[in-house]
Amino acid sequence: MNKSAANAFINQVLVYTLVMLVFTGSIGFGTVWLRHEISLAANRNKNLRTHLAEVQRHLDQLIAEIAAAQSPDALIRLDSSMRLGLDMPRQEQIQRVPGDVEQQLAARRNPDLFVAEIQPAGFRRGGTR
Amino acid sequence: MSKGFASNYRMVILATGIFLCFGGVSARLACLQVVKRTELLKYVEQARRSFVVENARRGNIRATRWGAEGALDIDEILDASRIRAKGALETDEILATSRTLVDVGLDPHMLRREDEVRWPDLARLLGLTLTDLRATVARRAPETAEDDGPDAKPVQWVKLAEGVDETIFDRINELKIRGVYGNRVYRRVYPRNSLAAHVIGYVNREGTPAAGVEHYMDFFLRGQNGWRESERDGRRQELAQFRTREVPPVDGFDVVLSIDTYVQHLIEKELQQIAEKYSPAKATIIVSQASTGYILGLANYPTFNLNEFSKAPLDAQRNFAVTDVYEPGSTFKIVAASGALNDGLVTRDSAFDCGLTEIDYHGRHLHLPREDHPFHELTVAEIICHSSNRGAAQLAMLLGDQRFYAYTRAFGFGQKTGFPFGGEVVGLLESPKHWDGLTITRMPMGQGAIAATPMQMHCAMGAIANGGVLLEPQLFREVRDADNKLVFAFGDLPRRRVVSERTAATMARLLMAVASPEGTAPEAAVRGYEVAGKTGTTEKLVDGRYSTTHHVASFVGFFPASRPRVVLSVIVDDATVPKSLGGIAYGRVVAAPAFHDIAMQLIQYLDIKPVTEPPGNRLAMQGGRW
Repeated sequence: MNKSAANAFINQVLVYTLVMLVFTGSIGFGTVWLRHEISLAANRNKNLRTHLAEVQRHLDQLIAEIAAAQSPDALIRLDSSMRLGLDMPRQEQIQRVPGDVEQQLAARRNPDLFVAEIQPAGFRRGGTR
Repeated sequence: MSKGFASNYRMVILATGIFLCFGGVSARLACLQVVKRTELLKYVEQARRSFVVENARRGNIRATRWGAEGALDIDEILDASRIRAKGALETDEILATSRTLVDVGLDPHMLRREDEVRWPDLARLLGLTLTDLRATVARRAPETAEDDGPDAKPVQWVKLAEGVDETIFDRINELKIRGVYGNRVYRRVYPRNSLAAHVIGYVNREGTPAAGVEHYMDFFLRGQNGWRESERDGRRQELAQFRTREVPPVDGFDVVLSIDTYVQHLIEKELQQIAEKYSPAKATIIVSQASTGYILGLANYPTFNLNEFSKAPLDAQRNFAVTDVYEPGSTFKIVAASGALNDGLVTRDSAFDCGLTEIDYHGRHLHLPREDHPFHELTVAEIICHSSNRGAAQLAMLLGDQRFYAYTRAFGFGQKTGFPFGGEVVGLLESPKHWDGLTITRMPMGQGAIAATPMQMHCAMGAIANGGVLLEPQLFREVRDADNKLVFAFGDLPRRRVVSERTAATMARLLMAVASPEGTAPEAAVRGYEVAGKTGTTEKLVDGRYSTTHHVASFVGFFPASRPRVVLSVIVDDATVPKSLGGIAYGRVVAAPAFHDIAMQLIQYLDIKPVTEPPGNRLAMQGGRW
């Protein structure tokens, strides 16, 4: 092998090496970038889940507080402190209405209409068709 | 090809240098990955590996608002899909829930002097005085001489407050005081304190369900913990990108009870009034739905606060309705009467001489029990109405030992009712071969060879209200997942037919007379609602003898008799009745008025329609002033 051929070979090896370095470097940087992005996404995900858990904790607290505020004892105390005097109705105060109340009210307001509606069908003697 | 710079010997050196660098890196990699692999992996495993358990949220225990469903017919109530369509279950109320609380503390060594200006705010948020806070902080130094030894560790965690709310802890964090931090703990809370305490039970400080529904339904409530495997960095922070395996937690299911908070509150309030008025040793009230056996309310006196269960005496934590027995007294007369009617041995008009003091039975001459009032000839209807002891004894004799015993068993005495927890006992029921000569005369009036739990007596009366079919008490309605989807629905649990429907209807009519002006408990009557029931006044055994001053007073009944909706039992043990009310704790005096008061409220709440219109109502309808 003469000297020029050897130089050309070394030259080629160097060029290929550099190209390979650039190529593998790019892959390396790409991989690092990708892993960084994965890390960021994973951390964002983790933070979101942490936040969700925090919201859930606050929600649990709220639910417990609402339940406590709705307890009969708490409501009675509130009724007493606000002097509302709320109480269940007594039996004597209740008038029970049988049947459909709306229908009865409507019938009372429009007697002609409802009387006509419930008139049975029939033929008048001597009438014409 | 030109020679280029490759001809330069320096390029050869550069290339050699680059290859040497690569070679060095490769050698190091080989050393790390091959030679020291095992050692390094062990270190990494220990230092970086993170295994975190994610706790599942324990499900809630919820109540049902039957009042919201009151306008529905019973068939509609059983149709869960229709109930949901009407949004009735949206009003369910929480009886037990889980929440996080924070134990706040500080590391005295981490505190900074510049943060001291914010200590008053910290003290205020924690509900401490500034002096207390400063005293706590001063624990930086060892407290005793013994602690001052060479092995003494510095105090790194001083607890400031337990069970701090999340919102308050957020505000503490906003103060940004270095060294103050908190540990979150899951706690079970009972927002309604003592409401239905004996039913709900509790989870103790170690997180172990110890009693009640909490214990019995733990399989559904506890959920399944999740876990994740990942790595952490040098600051012990998790590297989320290295999560390798992850199993998410599955939250526990919600258990929906048939208990109604309003009904429960109502009976607990009534028990409180009974306690204030008569100072009993204990008392129990049970309310259930006649056709399904759903328990709408179950309360005992004395009771306890679920959030402070550790302070409650163990005796107060017992569910007397299933753990304690008593002689049911006259309420038990329904067994002999139902049996005789069901076997066709008598009709409601069959007459018995209740003035007799002695009677011949299977060749033996037996003394009949004494009566509170002298009677002569009474029909079966009158025996029930006036609660004749001798009449009940003669009905049982007509049945005979074996049949009477068979009916007693059929009504559920001497066996567990099926109430799912709380240490239910079977009660006492001797078989006829162990009976003495007097048993057939005393047992029909609920004394002697019979002792029952309040729940057994309640279920027996429930069998009559339910057309003759004995039901298991049903406490659970549904199990729902965290998204409120139905997982399992519980229905009614019929055990057996005890008497025919006709007999049950006859008995219901006979029991209506008890709450009439001629009966033993007119105090229990509610006009227009056909209250049917039976009083019971049992002398307690004190030092082996029946006492004339200590009684168990009871009234067990249902209404309306012609289409029963609610079965209600009031049982009061050892009430002290003032002389002005007769001095003796009769069922009529102690239990019947409580039955009436509860019934009046239930009628409103459950929207129970009257069977007969009260006169005032008819007038209003005719006058058209509605």
